[in-house]
Amino acid sequence: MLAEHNKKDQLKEDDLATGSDVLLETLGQQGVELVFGYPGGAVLPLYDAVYRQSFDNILVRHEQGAVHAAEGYAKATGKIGVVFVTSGPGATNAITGIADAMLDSIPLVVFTGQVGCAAIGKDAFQEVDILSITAPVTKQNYQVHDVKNLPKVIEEAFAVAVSGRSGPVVIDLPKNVASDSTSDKDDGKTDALYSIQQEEKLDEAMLSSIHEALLQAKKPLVLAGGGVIAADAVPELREFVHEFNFPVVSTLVSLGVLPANDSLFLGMGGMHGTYQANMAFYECDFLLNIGSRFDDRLATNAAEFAPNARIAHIDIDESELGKVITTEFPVRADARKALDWLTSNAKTRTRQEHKEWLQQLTDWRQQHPQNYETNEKQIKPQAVIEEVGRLTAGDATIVTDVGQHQMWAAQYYPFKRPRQIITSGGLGTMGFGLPAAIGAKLAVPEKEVVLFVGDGGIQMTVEELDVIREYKLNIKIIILNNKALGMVRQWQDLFYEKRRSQTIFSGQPNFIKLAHAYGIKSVKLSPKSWRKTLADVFAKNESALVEADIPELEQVYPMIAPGQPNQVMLGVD
Amino acid sequence: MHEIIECKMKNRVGVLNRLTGLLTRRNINIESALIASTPDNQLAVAKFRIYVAQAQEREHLKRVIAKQIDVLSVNWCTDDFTKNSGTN
Ligand SMILES: Cc1ncc(C[n+]2csc(CCOP(=O)(O)OP(=O)(O)O)c2C)c(N)n1
Repeated sequence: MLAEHNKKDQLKEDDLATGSDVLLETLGQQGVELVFGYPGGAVLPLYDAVYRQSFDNILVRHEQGAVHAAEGYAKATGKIGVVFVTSGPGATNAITGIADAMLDSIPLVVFTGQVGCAAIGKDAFQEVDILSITAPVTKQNYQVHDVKNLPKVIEEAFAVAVSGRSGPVVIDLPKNVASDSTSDKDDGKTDALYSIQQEEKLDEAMLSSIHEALLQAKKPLVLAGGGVIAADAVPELREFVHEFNFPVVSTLVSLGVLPANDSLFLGMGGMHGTYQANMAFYECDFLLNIGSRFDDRLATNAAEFAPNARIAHIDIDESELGKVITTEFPVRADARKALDWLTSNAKTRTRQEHKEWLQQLTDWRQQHPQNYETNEKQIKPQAVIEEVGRLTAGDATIVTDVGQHQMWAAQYYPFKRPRQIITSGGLGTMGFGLPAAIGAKLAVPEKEVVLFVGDGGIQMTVEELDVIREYKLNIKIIILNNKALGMVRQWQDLFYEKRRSQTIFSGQPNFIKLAHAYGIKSVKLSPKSWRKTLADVFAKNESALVEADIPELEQVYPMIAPGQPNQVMLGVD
Repeated sequence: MHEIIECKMKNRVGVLNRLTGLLTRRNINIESALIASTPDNQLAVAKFRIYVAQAQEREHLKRVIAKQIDVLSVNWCTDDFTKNSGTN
């Protein structure tokens, strides 16, 4: 479908291959099927090659959208997302997405155009020092000065993006390198480059101590973070916890690690996590963290976190071990290998029932279930999400933007598989959702893709609606409209005596007409018949923008006030 | 505690920028530095003298530096021979 989208003009036999041709060829060898990008002066040679080779480029409407779309693509598949942007403003527009990928460990390779080598440093038109700008938000970055190094640099960048802890890599491509002919491409004298470090041996002694301690624990708890998803270790995790009867808490980005209805699953922990998950942190006597970085939205008060527990932490990135929480059993390891080891050793032991502990967790869940006040005259955001859960049988890819709707989606959608939630966790980037949904849909078209977004966030990258129209993508966009920057308003109400500074919109665009302007069907839900309308929307195989006016002052609960320990939750009845 | 970090790294443009950026971000001042490349120009060795207040912070920084793609090895020693130098 996409290949036909661009006009085909085969590369003529007598054309000399340019650096750009080599670049695309190398991407092909890396298994790249499509890129997200936006043209400009410095990438004219690159886009000329894209044209000549009919390479699949998803033309976004803003470079930030290109990077978020590539993130959505990467999160949905585990593959590397690839981006092309031009120099100067094209590259700076990409920064937010690159930083987002850095914090959520998403593998990307972003090509930024650059002015020709001879002009660098002379304040040439659209020149910025993108290497310095991106250094703190990339795993690694490169500038290519000689076309003969290009394939090697690209190979290295792809290897770096996924080795160990994944992350974004930038390749800055001066215009002359992109257009230089490559007749002398392979003279065998390319610079020696990075070789991926050999994996270290598993620290079996430490794993074995963890194993022993776990067997003795009366109240064990497993915290399974994004690292479990990134390592494709979900089957191993499920086997491990069922073998041992260990209850599991997830983070925001690892929802789906266990199905929502699994009796061992306590839900998401942290600031807006479930009562039982946060109480479990407080009560447990052994906490095994696999692939979570103890973010401050999870361990809301590091000093008082899991005060009764011995703590083990398995992470692929050694610098995470002991970073915020002192850890008795630190292990630098791939989650899958570590889990495999723990499970195969477990099989030789008697299985623990942890009856009292599991009963305690069940009691907490029953005493304080995740709930909200229903009101038939209003459309409750939580009810909309639950209804979407039913209509999609809990199997849709759920993309969110950032804010209250993001937390309600995390709390009320019944996730059941890995890579099912696509959300901006670490950076909390408003504007992430819409383009990320595009990337997720292109990556896994057979899955229904639903975007939950706020009335604030949609306006940050709304231009990408045009991409949905152009490629006829089936994405259900659900705006939960509280006519406010709801999450900030919530904090103002709770901690700033309801001084709602700059968080209430005095007026709003007509979202229904806006969708119409982009050629996308749209519908507003009414309190009386919204379930029926929603069912109709989901019965159709085409995109739709659905607007739900929700109660303007609805709060996300439970909530742990910033700095409070996990067991101190607001809004629990 | 005063520390001396010794990094062996790829000798390529920008590598020092990355390294000092890690210190800047943590508000760590470089008190002195010595940088030299190997005769074949492939590698560079950089020594920094810095002050890090907490042991936990030092351990984290050490690992963050070690994981940089261009950094091949890091040695870290507490600079106790400056104990009497009057600086703090
Ligand atoms: C780019 C960016 N700017 C500002 C913020 C701060 N912020 C966090 S949530 C939020 C409100 C979002 O409002 P809306 O999109 O309407 O979603 P709601 O919280 O109402 O569901 C804001 C402004 C942010 N996360 N990202």
